[in-house]
Amino acid sequence: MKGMTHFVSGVAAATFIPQVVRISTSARFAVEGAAGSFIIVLAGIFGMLPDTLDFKFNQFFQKPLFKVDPEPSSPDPAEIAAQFARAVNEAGRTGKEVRIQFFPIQLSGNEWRQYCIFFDKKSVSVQVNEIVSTSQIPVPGTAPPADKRSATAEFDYELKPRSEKVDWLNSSVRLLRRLIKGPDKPGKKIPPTTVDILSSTMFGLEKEPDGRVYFNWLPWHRTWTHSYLLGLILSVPVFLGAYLLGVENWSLYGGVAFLGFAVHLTEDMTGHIGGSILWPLMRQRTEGLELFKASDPRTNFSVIYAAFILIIFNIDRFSTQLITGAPESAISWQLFLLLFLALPLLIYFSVMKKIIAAVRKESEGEPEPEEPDGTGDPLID
Amino acid sequence: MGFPRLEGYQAASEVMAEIPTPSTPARKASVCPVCEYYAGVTGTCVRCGARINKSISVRAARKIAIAGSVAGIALLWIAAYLKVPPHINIGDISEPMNNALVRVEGLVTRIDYSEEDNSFRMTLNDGTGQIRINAINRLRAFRRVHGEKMPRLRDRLAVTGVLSISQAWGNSMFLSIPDRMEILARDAVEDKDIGEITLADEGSTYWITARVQSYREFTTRSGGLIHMVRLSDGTGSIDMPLFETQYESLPEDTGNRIRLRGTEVRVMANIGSYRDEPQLEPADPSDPYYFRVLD
Amino acid sequence: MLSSYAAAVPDAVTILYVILGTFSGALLCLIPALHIYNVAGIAMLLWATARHLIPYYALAPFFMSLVVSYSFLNTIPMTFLGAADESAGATLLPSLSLVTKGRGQDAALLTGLGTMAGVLVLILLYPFFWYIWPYIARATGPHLHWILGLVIAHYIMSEWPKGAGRGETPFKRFREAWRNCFAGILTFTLAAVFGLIYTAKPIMPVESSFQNIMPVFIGFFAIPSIIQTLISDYRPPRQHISRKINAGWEDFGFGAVPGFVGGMLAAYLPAVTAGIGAMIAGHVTNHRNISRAEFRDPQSPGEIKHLHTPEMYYRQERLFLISGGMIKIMYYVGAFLMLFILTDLTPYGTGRGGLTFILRPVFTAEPGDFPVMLGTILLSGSLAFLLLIVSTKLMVCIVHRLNLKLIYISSLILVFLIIYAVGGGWAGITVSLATTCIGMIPVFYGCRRSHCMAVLLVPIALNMAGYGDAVARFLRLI
Repeated sequence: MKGMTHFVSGVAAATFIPQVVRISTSARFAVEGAAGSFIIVLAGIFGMLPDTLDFKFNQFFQKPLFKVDPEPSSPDPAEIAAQFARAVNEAGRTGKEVRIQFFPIQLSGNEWRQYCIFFDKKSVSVQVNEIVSTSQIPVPGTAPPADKRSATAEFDYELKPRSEKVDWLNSSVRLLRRLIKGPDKPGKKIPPTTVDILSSTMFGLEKEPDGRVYFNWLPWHRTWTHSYLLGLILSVPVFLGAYLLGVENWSLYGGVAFLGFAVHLTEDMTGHIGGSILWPLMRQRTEGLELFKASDPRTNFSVIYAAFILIIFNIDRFSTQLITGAPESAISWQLFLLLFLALPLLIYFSVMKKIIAAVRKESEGEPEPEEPDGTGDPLID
Repeated sequence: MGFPRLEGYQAASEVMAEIPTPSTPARKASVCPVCEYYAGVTGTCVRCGARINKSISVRAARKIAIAGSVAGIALLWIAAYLKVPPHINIGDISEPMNNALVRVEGLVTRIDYSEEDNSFRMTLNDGTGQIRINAINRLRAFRRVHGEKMPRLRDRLAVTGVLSISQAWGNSMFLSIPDRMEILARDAVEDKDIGEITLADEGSTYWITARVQSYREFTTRSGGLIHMVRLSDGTGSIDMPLFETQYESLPEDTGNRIRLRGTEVRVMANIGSYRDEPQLEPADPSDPYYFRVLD
Repeated sequence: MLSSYAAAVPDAVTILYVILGTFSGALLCLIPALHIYNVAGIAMLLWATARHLIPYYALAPFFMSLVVSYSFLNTIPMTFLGAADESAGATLLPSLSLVTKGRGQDAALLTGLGTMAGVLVLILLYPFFWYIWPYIARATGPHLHWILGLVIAHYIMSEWPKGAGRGETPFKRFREAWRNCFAGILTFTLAAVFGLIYTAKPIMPVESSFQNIMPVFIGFFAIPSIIQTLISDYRPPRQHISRKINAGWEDFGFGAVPGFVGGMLAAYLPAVTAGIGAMIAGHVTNHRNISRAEFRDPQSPGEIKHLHTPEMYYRQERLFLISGGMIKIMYYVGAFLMLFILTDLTPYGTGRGGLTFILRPVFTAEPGDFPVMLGTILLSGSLAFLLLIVSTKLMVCIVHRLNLKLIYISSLILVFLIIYAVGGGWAGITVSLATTCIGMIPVFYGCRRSHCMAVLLVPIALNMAGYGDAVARFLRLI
């Protein structure tokens, strides 16, 4: 899910703890235990921390064996494809994991040369597209000539999208997923990748016992940074800091920090990539339940909206009690949740259903795979 | 002809030997000197419109910006450290002074402590006007610094705070820092003989020590009950009306005894007037410090 | 009942002052870098010394129309001249991008249409403001300090590295990618420290205290904009003149949600500007991915598959402008309008923003003012929108011929004269120079300009939580 979704989810979760809301209330108000604390901010920060660690730190400390940084004025698709083929062969030959990084081609402040990589079982094709803006809008007439547009390279080992290395945790998640969703779709292909703006992309390639090479998209993403145990470790300094500073209710601070972190990981497990949730005990990335796509705006918006409403609901009932929570409050909590949570979401999903139906009418091809979660869409800021 | 830039222990070494790598210096030369966006081969940055070739002074300008920021903050701190908030007369406060940090001095003519919302509010009068001082949610913080020496009615205070001028609420001042309040004089109120009190004293506050000469109750036209106590100290006599709420705020024993002729009382009172005659308005009947029966 | 409605109908004199306010605002905000709050401050001073200039009952409508007009007409200098104020983050970059393509008319009128949509939203949301908003305001009131803390945390954490991470060593990759993030954190920290010192012990002369934040903002936003434009040799190209605006009506439906969310955040939360509101609203409401780019059958020689770009991607630029225009009016006007929401729960209104602060010493909202204000907004907004259309046509014709350097140098001189006159004299000028240095860091390093708003965000959050005392003590400014 998007960074904002994790952020507000963590905050919403923290507001379910009455004592947290009370100590967060400004001491000017006659609320028992009110102390003007910023503790809830910890839930937001830790809610966003796993992806922050990944995208702001972890990705820059990777050591890919192959770096593909195409020349801006005339990128050669043949050479890009050849490099990927070399990487696959290298992985197949050595049996070690080989990582390959593809950089974006920036032409000016708001211009990028887009290129797509298509994967087949034993070949890769690269297509150089038009120049696009940072909003990923193509500039008409800027595509390279036909002879420099695309190229294909073959490699010696077969690529596969799913790993056969399955530990008990992964098996359990797969079992649960199949119970919820039914059997996995057979023969899933590796989706094509588009490289255009801002970030680079990276693949991990590793030969497995069946002789095929496992294709791992963003191998550094959702690994050690997405572990409940790391969340516990990172909350220790918060516990200690609050204790040493003599803060009242010091034990709550570390707990709220961990809660934000844990909410993030749990939300991620509903998606496709999953995470290394028990690192360092189990280093392998566990697949997700594949209930939602991380970039689906409906999931993100509805979670954010629900979190906002629950935050207002909780901070009111645990402090001011104007809306719900007391006999003299304006309405009952059931009515509040019906009017402000269930009903708006119902209307939202009805409207979105119509919009998406209209959009799909125009759809006739294979959609581009989703971008990594946690980053947000290309916003101009 | 363009080739990818490659790295890697074997593949890279093979390919790098034959492929001209696009030079990093060229990339650096094409970065916008103003906004750092990659500007490619264009002469003008698409994002901010800066000319790419005008980059000689950018490095220096950056340093100036950062050094200037740090120096500016240092200067601001020094200026703030040395700044002595100006002393102003309350009567001189005008609209443009809203949000100013100033010092005022005056007598506490009213003070309310509210333990419930951890606040205290008082009114200061410096002879040119009066202003409300609000220390919202700061009572405990002030007590930590001032201990038992918290202000009382008729203390002379100096306070430094931020002025808040509002058409609805008049002039007030936010007092948030305990160190910015100073008690200049305790009980800056003189004793006065009743015979010396004239209409010219209206608005002033004095300690009065006298005996009850008479007590009566009457009802106003609006239906309110007034407890009229007339006090005498040998130099003269004066009325001291108590509204029902004021009377009820007195300790029970005090309330009963001021009904009795000859009871000696010591009262801090403001001088008011009624039908061109001075009268006493007790400063705070609820507090035995300001209104007590002498045994 | 009837009399209360009659009282709510503005009389002819009030309408006259609304029209006067609209035209005054329109005229003044065409001067780049001159902020409406500077003008409002001067107008308040003038009124305080000569109260017969505007009758008391027309005071609020006059100032309201001044701000409404500014919300519309500041689109002109912001779009065509690149003059940024603290709300510029909402629309500046897409506008500038369109102007460089000769589509300044689209940029200005789409922003204007968004602002007009904001006027309608403010009016149509009357029941929300009257019956629901007071509960939200009262429930969140005791929690504003940590809500601002959340804004700060998300604002810093959501600025992602703009570099792709090139370099031989992890440190070099990290440094290359993090350049904008480092600059953002530096700007935020410096602005926050500046704000903490400045609010703990203001150094402005007492007589100009009501405008003591003016030189700070001019330094952070106006002067760096002028300097950037001067050194960048910015010359807008010849603009296209068209009888159509490149958008569809459905775009307003998509733009209304982020516009409302960002606008309410900016109108209610102290120190959260339209730029910050737009950024948060963008993260909250982004629906770009409801249709993704698709791989279709090849359409030209050499293609393996054609990557089709959906309309939703093209729509983003338009949505930025529409929602940005809407957020702008909710930030400037909505914040002041909330002063008039006088209910049992909010007997003093929930007004915020510069104008509320400037007028507080001379004006009190009274029951029955709210409908008058809505009428004022509608009248002034409609007039201002017409003026925007005329001004846009004029600018489209002349912008490539303007001597921008002369305009900016004149503006710079004017701004310093205003600071000297009402912004604290030499002390104000010194303060503005110091904040200019901080405001130049985002310009040089390409990070968000709104980091400068830490000057208010951090002190307000800490003061609301009751830590102002500790901060002043730490800074030794007791």
